[in-house]
Amino acid sequence: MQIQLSGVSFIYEKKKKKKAATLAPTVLKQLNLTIHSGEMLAVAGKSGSGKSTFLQLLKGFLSPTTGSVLLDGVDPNTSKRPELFDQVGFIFQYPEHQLFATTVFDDIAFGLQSAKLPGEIVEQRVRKAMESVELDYEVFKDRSPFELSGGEKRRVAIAGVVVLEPKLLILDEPTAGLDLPSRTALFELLHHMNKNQGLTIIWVSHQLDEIVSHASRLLALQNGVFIADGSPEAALSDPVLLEAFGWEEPSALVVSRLLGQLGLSAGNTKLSPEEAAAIIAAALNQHEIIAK
Amino acid sequence: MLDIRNASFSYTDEDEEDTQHTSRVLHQVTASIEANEFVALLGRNGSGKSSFTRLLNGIEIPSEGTVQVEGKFTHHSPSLPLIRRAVQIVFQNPENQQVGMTVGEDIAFGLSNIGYPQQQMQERIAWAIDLVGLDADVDRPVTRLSGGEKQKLALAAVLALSPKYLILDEATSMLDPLARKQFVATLHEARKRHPFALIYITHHLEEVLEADRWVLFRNGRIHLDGPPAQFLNDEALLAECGLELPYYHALALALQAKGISVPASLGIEELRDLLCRFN
Repeated sequence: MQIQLSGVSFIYEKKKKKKAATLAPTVLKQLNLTIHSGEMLAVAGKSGSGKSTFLQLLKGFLSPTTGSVLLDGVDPNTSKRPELFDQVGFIFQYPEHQLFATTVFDDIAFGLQSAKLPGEIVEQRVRKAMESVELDYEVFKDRSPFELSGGEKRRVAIAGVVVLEPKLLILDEPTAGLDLPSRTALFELLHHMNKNQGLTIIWVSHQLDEIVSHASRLLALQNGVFIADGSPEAALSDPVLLEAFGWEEPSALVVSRLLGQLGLSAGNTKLSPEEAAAIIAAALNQHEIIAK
Repeated sequence: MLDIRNASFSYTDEDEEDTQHTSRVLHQVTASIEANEFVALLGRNGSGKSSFTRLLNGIEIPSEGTVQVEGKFTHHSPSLPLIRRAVQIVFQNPENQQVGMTVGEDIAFGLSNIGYPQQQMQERIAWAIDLVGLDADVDRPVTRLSGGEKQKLALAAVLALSPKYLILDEATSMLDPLARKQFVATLHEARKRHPFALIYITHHLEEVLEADRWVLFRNGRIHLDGPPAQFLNDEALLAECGLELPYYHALALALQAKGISVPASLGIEELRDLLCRFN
């Protein structure tokens, strides 16, 4: 799905108190942005940056005070077609806290059953959604979501949104609280859905390594404006951005820069410790040979 | 001392008679934690480490086996108030732990609960704020604190109660790397001034390289319990448990493996020195 923001501002207005409205701070200021179909976009922003408001505009939970949000070229707000926002899947932080049904199947099927779809279509789509989050249908469908592991519960929660077949998937800190193997597995899944189903994915992250490893683009919000929009690699060498988010330069980059300064390596920013050790060992051996 | 003997624990659904649906989260766990020790609890999500800490302060009682805190059994309910005062927990999300509107009120809440003398309250609050180096006065609304400051406040509120054992359950996971470093430094500074045992759950090994012991949980059991050095060379085990060696540590190990003598606490400066000596 292609998303286009033109001159989007947002102010939380208190409708009855006109005086308060004039004092209400502008949460988003004149944002212009195009997100292309199939992007993997990471959004960074501290609390109060306007990040949540921005995401809620994309899902239609809020409408912009001025400007427009277009989904595939149509403004659902002004064209009175709010159903277009149904194509946007929104996954909240710790989505597993919202699991409620007695079986995995019922939990995932809830949205479809509410829409009164026929039983066989529901089953077919639940099966497909479970496959796309890599949960074996037969193994998991009758299990209680509450006895699953943290990573599995989160995948059930994601399947409950994916089953509605969104074209854009928004995830708010999807890896919060997950350990490293579960995080890796979750991103494999997102990349898979992004590639195979052409799903556009926007997720909130505060972790630079995660952004660098997985995003095709980084959008950073501060005080209602974008302070960065571009390749995650560019962020690595932006001291203002690093400082704003309390990020540290990845050690691999620091070591690779040092080696580069000493004429030992041509700036590979993802130098593994083993690769670095090999370069250092070779340099030290070389020196010993010359010394002899 | 905290003494855990053959403790097993499972979450049971009271309405459900079917034992197949009872998930056992800890199996026959035995461990002890001495006064003032720094112990890291490691393991994947669901490996049992959080459940283990819930046994330590009597939030949960083991279904088999025993837990003793300074000689008092957690299954002996009259001991629980003392046990819960001795063993305090700081959780992941500071916002779930805040009860007061202001910094002062928040710290006062726990103190009032233990019947701390009213006339000494302000002094104690100031002491706790100073101990964690929170740069905020008592009247500061909690909502005006940053994430890192909120977590320092949560720490101040429990340290005001003088716990003998402090459990941090992924207490830094919502902080950015810089705030995380500051929080860890604060914690150790506070321990120097006012010693307590630290029981620390994390996925970030760089935060626990200085620990006396690492205790690794796997499938509800303690898989390995020993000094960090015992784990650091076993990369396969670490990877399996979702733990990643800090970059410089991995680099030091890789250099040592090539016969180059470098300290395990290698940093960029040491590396520069090593290389510049020859250039």
